[in-house]
Amino acid sequence: MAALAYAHGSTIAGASTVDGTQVSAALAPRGVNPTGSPDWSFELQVFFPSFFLAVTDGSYFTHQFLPLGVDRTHWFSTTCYPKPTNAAQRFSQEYSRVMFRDIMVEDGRQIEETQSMLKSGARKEFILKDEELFIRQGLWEGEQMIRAHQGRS
Amino acid sequence: MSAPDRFYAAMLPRLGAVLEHLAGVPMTDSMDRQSAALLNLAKSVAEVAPAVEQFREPAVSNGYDVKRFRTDPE
Repeated sequence: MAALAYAHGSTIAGASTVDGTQVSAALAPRGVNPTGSPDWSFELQVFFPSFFLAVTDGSYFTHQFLPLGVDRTHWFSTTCYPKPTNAAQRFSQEYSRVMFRDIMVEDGRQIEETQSMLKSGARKEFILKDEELFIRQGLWEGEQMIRAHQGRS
Repeated sequence: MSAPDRFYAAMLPRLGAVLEHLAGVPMTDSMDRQSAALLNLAKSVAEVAPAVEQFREPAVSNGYDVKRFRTDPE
């Protein structure tokens, strides 16, 4: 189904479905996938503190997180596609939306379970690996902002 | 899962031909009724494909409740 959908339009993971080790890299828009990774699918940029932009082959999606409290957040997501020129392209976009929705359904559950665990206080420390650079950088930036605010008050 | 499985099995062998037809149909409000019906069938099979191909149940296993989503118009 993924291959059929991608044959007629852009999908959020379409570039990873094509054959050929160099084809996927060649589909990246200019400035995206600068290392030329052959298994590239999309590239996620994180704008501190809470805006995510992922650029794919022919589409993009975003996340915006607006905290309501220490344990509640509004999560806004968008998927954006070119205006379809034919009905088959519209089908491809629908498939991509379904794919995106189901990924969010998986992630949303995992995030809520993690929050529930943290809120319980059962664990006092949360170990981050080297690959989790964005979380560490975000934490560092947040601490700088808090210290700057405390210094003014 | 019997209904999604049956629908998917009935549509998949025909989907290539359906999409070839739809590729020649401009995406406008004045689309002919038969093409519009085919597009709706194709979008429906897109909807059930992950359940049939991946989850083997109607929604993501132990996933976030989609009823909590609020959607905006296209």
